[in-house]
Amino acid sequence: MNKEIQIHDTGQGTANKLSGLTSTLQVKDPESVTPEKRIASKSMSNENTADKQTASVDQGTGDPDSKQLAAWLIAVANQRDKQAFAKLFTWFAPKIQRVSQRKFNNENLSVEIVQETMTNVWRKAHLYYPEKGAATTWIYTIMRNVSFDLLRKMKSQQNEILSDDIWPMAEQANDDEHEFRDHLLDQQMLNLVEKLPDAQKEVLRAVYFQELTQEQLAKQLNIPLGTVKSRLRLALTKLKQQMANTDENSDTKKSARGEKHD
Amino acid sequence: MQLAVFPLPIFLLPGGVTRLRIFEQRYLRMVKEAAGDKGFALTAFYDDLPNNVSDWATWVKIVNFETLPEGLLAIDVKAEKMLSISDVTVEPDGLRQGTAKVIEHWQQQAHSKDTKQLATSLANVYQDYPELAELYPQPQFDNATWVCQRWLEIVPLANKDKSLFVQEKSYQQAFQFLRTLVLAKK
Repeated sequence: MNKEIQIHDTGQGTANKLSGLTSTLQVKDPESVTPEKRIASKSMSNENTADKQTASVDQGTGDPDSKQLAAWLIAVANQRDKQAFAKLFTWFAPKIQRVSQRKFNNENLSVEIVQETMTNVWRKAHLYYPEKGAATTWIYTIMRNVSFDLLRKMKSQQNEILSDDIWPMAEQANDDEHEFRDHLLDQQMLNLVEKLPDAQKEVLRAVYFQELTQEQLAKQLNIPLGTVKSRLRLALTKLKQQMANTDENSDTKKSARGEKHD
Repeated sequence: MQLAVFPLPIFLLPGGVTRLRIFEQRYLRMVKEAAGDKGFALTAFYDDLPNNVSDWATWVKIVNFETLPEGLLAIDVKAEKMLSISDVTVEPDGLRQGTAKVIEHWQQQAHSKDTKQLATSLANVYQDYPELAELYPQPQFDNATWVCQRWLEIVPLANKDKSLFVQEKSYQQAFQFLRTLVLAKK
């Protein structure tokens, strides 16, 4: 239960950092290796080099910059541009796969995460707002959500599958990338945790924040899960009653004696 | 006293140790400035409060650090005292600062039959989770207060509920809570 606290920015630095790690990975989607049509925005700066990218991500020759990535994403949103999507796929799929593979150590799962993530990118591209931040950040957020969903599905086997770091630790903050300094990933992750149903919240909290899950506690105490749940409820109810009583007592005492409440 | 404030959904009582990985610039700065005896304030993260900061915090000091292969900084922090936090401000890089005042926490409590049982079950947890045990090279199983504090940190309970145990006089409630949950005693 090593604690993993993810408070970080994800920006283009991620892409740069990860591309080094993924240079040997091959993209399997055949669509992604047909870079033809020029797309979207005229503001794209390294359109040409990006077009020459091949399926194996080759660092140094054709890394798209964040403007380029955003432009592709916008082309997908506005024109349902398949070529632009192929380029996004070429760029992101190996990174997502690599990160997921490392976190889950399961090839099927990481492929599933790539597919789900990229499908969502295709479906939800219109929800991307460039003024709110980098495309990289947006796509990695989707990847996280996909992983969250998968975690939910895998809850029953969590002990085998969850390692102490589920999320891409390699995504180190890039100092030049100020746009995401605070407001997206750290809070978003925490907010997401808050929004999960209780059981999932608990699993995640336990993984991140070094608590025992109810299941783990049940195992530890050698009692059924249901018993842990009912004991927790009982203990909490009693606690709240006690607290209420204490407050009442001290309030009564306070008013009776005219003392200041500590 | 002015302290840097780090909101996280972690619950740590005095004596508690945890490992954090730091990689945002503002928190790297916080770590730099917290070196020595100063420390920083770990507050609970709340969605619905200004700056997401609770009005109480744990005063932690850095007891160990290492640079991980990926270039991340890992720090082990140990909780010293509980604090009240007010006047939180946010600096240009996003680091929060607040005015901190020490709140006393539980008095030393004598071991009873029940707390000894809690100690035994805590020792079992540490045996099964070496990552947890590693944080405490010298576990104080003979200290009832310490045992209850460590138990509370790891029980599956929402932080908002756990925050009830921040109060100075909450030992008895904490003990009763654990007695019900862990020992199944009413």
